[in-house]
Amino acid sequence: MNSDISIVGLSLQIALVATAVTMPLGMFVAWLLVRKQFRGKFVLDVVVSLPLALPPVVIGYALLWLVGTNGWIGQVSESLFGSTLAFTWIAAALAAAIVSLPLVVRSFAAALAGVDPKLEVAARGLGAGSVRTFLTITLPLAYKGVIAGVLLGFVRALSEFGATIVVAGNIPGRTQTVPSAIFTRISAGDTDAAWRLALVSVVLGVIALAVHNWLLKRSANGIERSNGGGR
Amino acid sequence: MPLIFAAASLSDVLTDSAQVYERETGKRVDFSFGGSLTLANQIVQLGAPADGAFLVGERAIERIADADLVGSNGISPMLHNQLTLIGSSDALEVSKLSELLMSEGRIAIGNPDLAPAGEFARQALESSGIWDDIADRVIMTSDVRAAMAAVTSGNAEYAVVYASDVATYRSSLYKELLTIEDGYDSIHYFFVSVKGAKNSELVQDFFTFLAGSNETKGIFDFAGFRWNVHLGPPSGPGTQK
Repeated sequence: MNSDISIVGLSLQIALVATAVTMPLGMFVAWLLVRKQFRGKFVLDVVVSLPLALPPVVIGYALLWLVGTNGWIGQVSESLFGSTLAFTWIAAALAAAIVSLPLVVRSFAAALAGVDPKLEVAARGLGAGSVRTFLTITLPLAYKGVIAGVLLGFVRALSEFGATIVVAGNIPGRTQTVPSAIFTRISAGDTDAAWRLALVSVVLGVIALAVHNWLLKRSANGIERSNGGGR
Repeated sequence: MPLIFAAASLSDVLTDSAQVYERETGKRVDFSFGGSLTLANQIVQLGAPADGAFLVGERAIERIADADLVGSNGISPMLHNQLTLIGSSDALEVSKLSELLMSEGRIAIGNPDLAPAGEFARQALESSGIWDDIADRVIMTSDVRAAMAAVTSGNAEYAVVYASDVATYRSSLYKELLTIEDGYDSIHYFFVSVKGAKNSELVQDFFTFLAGSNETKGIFDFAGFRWNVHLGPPSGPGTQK
């Protein structure tokens, strides 16, 4: 049986890569949803949020058909690397990214909505481009909410099970994450070892949520103060 | 490093054997354990990166053969196993399967669609004429080890598992009630390297080591498996004993 430390390590690796994907993508989508008016906005919102409303196993299945031998991503990677992404840790990271994206987008959108658009308009009026405005005005004002969103997405990625086990399997040392190791240990009747990893999950979750809530509280106070000062 | 997809019932013996293999040769193998039919489907339909497979039951290995994925060394029937009825520590004693009718408790077996152990268990329960009467208290699990765990965790009164599961995991949480000698297809384990896989030669090397080393053979013997490397294709139900 693989050691707890290497299982937690692989889980962290998968969740970190997933977060590295959802951070920029989630920021872009949230910015579109909050600041832009365009056709298809409603559709974008629904598509990005869909993983919240679907059984994760359906997402895993859909992803499997994309990255497996029959899907176009699978065929591209097969011709490039000689193997598909199915049943690799990259597939696990993709699954975790898709499942955590709606939480990240929602948190980012709430954080961006708390930034007064007039400040952005002023920056634009002083000659800053939209990227510079975003990086120097919007992001600094919203950073606590953004970090909170990153944390929330990270813990969701860490706890992902349903989509992961379908698209990445449960291969010790390769794709076995903390949740799938717990599942194996429960199935095998290895209760002590299952409890140990369950406890690790609880500790990681509690820490992340505590920091998340603390940041949100502070950012709410900060917005009140800056709004009050502005009036 | 080669990756071998292997039946859940082999998890202990293969993990131990891989340690011997690494100590003796310096080479390593990885495993993915699960229900043999689940694993065969992952290889055949989903493109799972298995270099070899060590599966139980003809149905699982036929799926790989039908997809033309059997490597150059062909299919080796390696091992032989038997079914055993286990019960929770306070379960009613039974001396033959039909006596399960006297109890009200739940009976765990592997899901026949995922784990061949469940298929064999269902055959045995059908042959003893009680399947229809107990079907509504049968719990189906994803593999045979999970059926055993259903008993040890107190969630089922009985389970039909392999003799090797009993031999590799002794515990006061369950008792061995009955060796089921016939009424089901004979249980064979087959080993193949996967055609076209990157590491199929390393898999064959591991397999040759398994069958040739006295130490690994001892691990399998101790677990109650019987070797039949030189055996031809199995010949239908009830051939053992």
